[in-house]
Formats: sequence, structure tokens, C-alpha cells
Amino acid sequence: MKIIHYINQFFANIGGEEMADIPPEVREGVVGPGMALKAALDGGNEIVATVICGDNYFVDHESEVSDWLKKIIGQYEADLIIAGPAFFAGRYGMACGGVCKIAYEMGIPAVSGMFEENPGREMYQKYGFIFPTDNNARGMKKAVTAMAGFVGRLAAGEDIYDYRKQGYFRRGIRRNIWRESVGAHRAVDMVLDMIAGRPYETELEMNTFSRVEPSAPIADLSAAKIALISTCGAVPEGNPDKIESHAATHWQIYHIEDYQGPELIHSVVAHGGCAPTFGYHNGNRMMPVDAMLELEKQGFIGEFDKNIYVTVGNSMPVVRAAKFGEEIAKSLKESGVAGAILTSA
Amino acid sequence: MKTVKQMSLDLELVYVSDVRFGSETKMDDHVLYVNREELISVAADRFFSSVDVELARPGESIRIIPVKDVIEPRIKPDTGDFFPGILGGFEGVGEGRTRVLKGCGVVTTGQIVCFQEGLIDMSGPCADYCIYSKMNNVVLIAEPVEGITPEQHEEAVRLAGVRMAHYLAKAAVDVEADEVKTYTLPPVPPEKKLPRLLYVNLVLAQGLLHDNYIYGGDCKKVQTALMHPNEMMDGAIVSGNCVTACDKNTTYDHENNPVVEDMYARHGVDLEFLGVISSPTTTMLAEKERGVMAILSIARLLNADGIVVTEEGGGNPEADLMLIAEKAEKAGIKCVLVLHENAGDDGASEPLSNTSAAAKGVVTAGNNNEFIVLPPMEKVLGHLEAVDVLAGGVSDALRPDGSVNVRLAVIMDATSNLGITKISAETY
Repeated sequence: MKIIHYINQFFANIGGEEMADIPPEVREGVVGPGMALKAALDGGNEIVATVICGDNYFVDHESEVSDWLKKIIGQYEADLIIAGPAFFAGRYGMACGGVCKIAYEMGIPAVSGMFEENPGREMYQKYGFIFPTDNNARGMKKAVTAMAGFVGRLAAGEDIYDYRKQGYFRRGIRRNIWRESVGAHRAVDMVLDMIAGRPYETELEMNTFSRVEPSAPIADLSAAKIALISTCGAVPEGNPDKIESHAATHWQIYHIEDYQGPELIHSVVAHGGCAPTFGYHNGNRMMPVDAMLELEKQGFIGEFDKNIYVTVGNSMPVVRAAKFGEEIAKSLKESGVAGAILTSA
Repeated sequence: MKTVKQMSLDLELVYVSDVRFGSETKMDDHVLYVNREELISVAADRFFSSVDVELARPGESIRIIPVKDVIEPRIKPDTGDFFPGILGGFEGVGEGRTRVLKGCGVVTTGQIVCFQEGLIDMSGPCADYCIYSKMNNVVLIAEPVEGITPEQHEEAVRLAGVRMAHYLAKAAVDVEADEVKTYTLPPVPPEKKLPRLLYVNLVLAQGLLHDNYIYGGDCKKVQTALMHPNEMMDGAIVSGNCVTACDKNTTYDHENNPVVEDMYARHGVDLEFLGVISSPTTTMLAEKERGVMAILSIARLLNADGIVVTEEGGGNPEADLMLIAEKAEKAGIKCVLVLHENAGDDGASEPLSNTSAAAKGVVTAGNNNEFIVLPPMEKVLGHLEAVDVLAGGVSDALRPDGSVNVRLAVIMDATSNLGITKISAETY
């Protein structure tokens, strides 16, 4: 495997805190801890280049560094990224985590090492195989041995998804597997184990959701611009932006006129989790545009935003829904909207 | 008159190793011969403008799309009936004899609401996920007349499917059965002290074509009920469901429910199988609460030690699952939920939309968001262009070479909540 190794200014022997603002550079071959890694890696796995960046620079210019690093990764045709190890260095940990995220977005595996309490560990462990290290560089040999050993197993095509066996921090990613017996049999086994008080392992631990704090009430509705957001997938005929019927990948703004006016007769429904035909040629059955216009007419609200935010909520991954929420909130703010009503299918 | 207290059902299995068209519909040396014209006339309906029947065998390069339901041909040879409340009466349901065309499925297709129909490939990687790829299938291809509603279209396809299954099963009445399996639940001697288990079969009843039929009755209007498992084997539940393909339970699945099969096999061995609770899953909270109340009431009345609960559909019914887990925990009844996940294309999102700390035992049938590339098939039965809009398809699912890049969600039963296959998921 061709590997790119990412380190900071300190481990490149450029300097400490005072040099943390240096922009990224790339050097052929290994630098600093790369030498220990090189020694520990198997013959077929080679560090082809080392990327060095100041910790502050990375954190302050993340999107710029990201674009640059993606180019470098492409240029060297890297198969894998190693970042750090960062031990307990907070900003270095954030940078190494950020590098894991960049690799993740490119579909390339990333390996790093951090002390458990490094803030970069919790924030970025989803994106890479991050190995536990000591809290300072005296644990370099141990960290490098663990990381390089793992790279060897990964390159050899071994099954590396048992985090307990492999030793990396649990990434929290679900992956389909085949078990030894069918689900029905496993379920009966499990309930019998529970009744008998025998140890058993659930196949899905319950996730917990983050809570959204409701914002303060709008002081004067009669002066407020109110928008409508809908996950029901009522789109203009022909579904021009091809919003998917299941686990949609994008949201759109449609003006009332895109549906040929407030009757929403030019409407079809892209939602794949309900019988959609009731909303065909009558989008008001899916999202209450008529009611909003009536409230506007009565002066109950100051203005109804004629741009409607539409996506399909069917089987929407929560992470993507949260991203859509942030994007839509930004757009609402930019258009002077004071409040929004969200309806579903 | 001899009276028999215990219900006992003999499933007389006739193995189907091939299906071919012929001049007469009959079974001969494990080959099902189908008179095409006769079967077309059985399937005909005033709501169809055209009706055709095709065959699809394991290993063939055939893609069937969009699939609505799969039905296993069965018949009560002594009355000639099947599908009680829909085609037949109630005499002898769950006991006596039932003929089964094993290894054969009637596959119904149609662009009803399209999103919620699925795909079956008869060869390639789909077969790893789909039990129907391994069966000798008789496929209904019927186009609706113009101007009918999706509800009328759904009903016409559903009824055509059960008529076809019943018609084909008739061909097996007079041949010798290959295997006879007897299903009865003799009382377990109390001194054996085996755990008492109930199976809770949640049946989608959300309306808007997310519906099922118990004894012909619309599930939206039926109450939570205790059933003998043999009733399911005798066609008590027929799917009318147009929900995401990977997680709807087909009529075939109800006839061959794997939890019923497993509990039966272990009855008197390491458990006592008390029966099946079929309970409708609706969208309304009050009705969910009523169903959960009734499930726990029956479970406590029968002094159950544990329940296995299977979901149908996903998302909204997770609320029913969590309510059941909470109430079961309160009643001291151990509970295992069988479900599937929507954990995102990369598996990094929350797998469920509703959770509870009480859900301590969960069996998962995998993440249906995971992508799979299905290679092109030489022959397509149905409408290949439908793949772009199937739930689980993406707008560019269909590639120029005819291969499709889709989520597992589009494959019939791929992540079935009944735990039909060995698929699962784990966290890394």
C-alpha cells in the first residue's frame, strides 16, 4: 500500500507553539516518527510522502487544507493515510482527526493514534481507525507498533472490523454481516437466554438522540415572516430535481409558482413511505400552503414565505437530517424568516 | 363422533424442482407444468387491460420489477379451499391436511405506487439476500385499465395472486407428497418447567396501501388477536402491502413465518410455544397504545415468560416496538425485538428513529441503506425504469449497461424483520 503520513510542526522538528501557524507542505519519504513507522511496517507498505502542517494553521484553515490534501492524496495515489500519533496534544489531535475525516470523504482508510481523553478522539473516531496511546510521546514505540501492525493486517485483506480484537476505538459505524443462524432462531435463543439469566449480547444497542432546545417564542407574529418546511416530498410535476423517494440526498426550495400557484395543482409526491397519490395535483393535502396564505390574509402572521423548503423524510438518516436542518436554517435566516412550520408525510 | 381437542396440521410438501409451460396444469416428477392460457384466465380482472404470465427459475438471467407480493401455492385437499375469508371458508383451518407446492412462488408485479414495490433477480448477488431468487416463480404481469385508483389496482393484483396460487396448488392434490410435516402443540408437562413463549407478529395497518388482511378483514379494523400458528400456515394473513420491499412481509412469509417455524421446532424441547399474537400497527398513538395494552394483556393472561416481537415496515412502527419493550419490562416479561436499520449509506447514522432503554434484546436484519450493485440481467419482467423511483433507488440507479446501483431496500425481503436469513449488522 502507498501511504501518506501526516504530522505537525513539532514532530517534524520545525518548532513548537511558535511555529504552529506554518502552512502545509509535502516531503518525499519519511520524516520524524515516520522513521519508526517505516521500520515497523511490512515490506509491501510504504510511506511515499509526509505532509507537515502547523496545528493552528490546520484548525484555522480546515477547508483550504482539506482541498489541498485531497489533491496531494490523489497525486501520490495513496491507498491509506496515517495521522500522528497525537497522544494528548489537543490541537494535533483535532488535526489528525480532521485528516481522518478528509480520507473518509475520499473513501480511503485512515489510521491514527491518540490518548483516550484527546478531544480529537471522540470528535473524529468515526472517520478512522484510531488506536489508544499513552498521554505523551514516550509511548511512541507502543503506538507505532499497534498502528503499523494494524496497517499490515488491513493491507493483507484480513477482517479488521472487530474493534475489540484489533484494539482501535469503536468507530460507531454499522456494517452488514452474515451470522451463523437466521434472525428468527437468534431471537428465540436470545429470549431464552434472557429468561434463564444467561449472558447474551443484543445486536443493536439503543442510540440516544441529541435534544434540540426550542427557541424563544416570536414576540409579534403579525410582523413575522413565516416559512413552511415539509418532509412530505410534494414536488412540482416531473420531480425536476429528482428528490429520492427513500433516504433523500438533498432538499430543494420551490416557489408557489413552481406548483402553478396556491392551489398547488402542478404537484406530485416523491415520498416513498406513504400512498402518495392523494397529493397528486393537490399539494395542499401534503403541506398546508392554503392555510398559511389564509393566516397571512387575516394578518395573523406578517408574511408567508412563498419559497417552500421540500425534501423526503422517508428513511432519512438522522445525521443527514441534522445537516439539512443546519442548511435550511441558514437559508431561512438569510431570507429574513422569523419562524417556520415543519410538516411531515 | 371422534373429537380431537388439539389442533394438528399436516403440511404435505410437494417439491417443485422446475416450472414449465404445458398443455395441462399438472405436477409430473417434481416439474410443475402450467397451462398458460388457463392461468391467464384465472388472473384476469376487469381492472386489468392486459394479463400475462411468465416463468422465472433459479439461476436464470431474469430481473423481476416492480414486485408487489410473493405467494406460496397451498390448498386444503379435503375442501378444495384456501385463503379463508378471501377465497375459501373457515372449515378445517389450521388442522387436517394442507398441500404445499414447496419451492414455488407466485410473484405479482405492477406499478401500483411504484416506490413500494421491489426487485427480484433470479441470479447474481441478489440471490444472497433474496429467498425468492432460489424459487421456481410464476410471475403475473398485468397492466391496469386507465382511470382506476391505486387502491383498485392493488386489490386486483392481490386477489389475482391468491387465485393463481390456489389454482396452481390444485395441480398437486393428487400426486404423492414428498414429505409430510405435522404441526401440533401438545401440552408440555409442567414438571419440565420450560420457558413459556409467545410470538408477537406486528402486522402493518397504516392505511394508504400499507395494509394487510387477516381472514379477508382489513387489518385497520381488526383487534389484536391470539392465533394458533397453524392458522398462519393455512393462509390466514394475506399481504396487501405496498411498503418498502426489504421490510414488508409477503404472503409467502406469513405462510412460512420463520419465528413460528423455530418455536415449533423447539416446542417441548427448550420452550413451550403458547401461540401467536397478531396485532395491527397503525399510525395513531391511541391505537398503538391499545394494541400494546392488548398484547401485554394476552401475554400476562397466558403467563408468558418471554415474547419475540417482529416489526413490519420501519420508522413509524419502531414506536410500537419500543412501547411493547417498555410495557413488557414493567410486567417482568422478557422481550426480544426483531427489526432492521436505516443507519445511512455509510452505516454512520442512528439506526432507528425511536429507541428505548427497555429494548435490551434486539436482533437486527441489517442496514437497508447499504448499497449493492446488481449486474444487468438478460431479461426483464416488468418495468426496469421503475428502479429509479423504488424506495431505496436513487435517481441515477439505472446505469447505461442495465446494471443498477441500489440500496438493499429495493430487494424483496433483503432485510426482512422476520429474521428469514442470516443477515445482520454489527458496530465497528
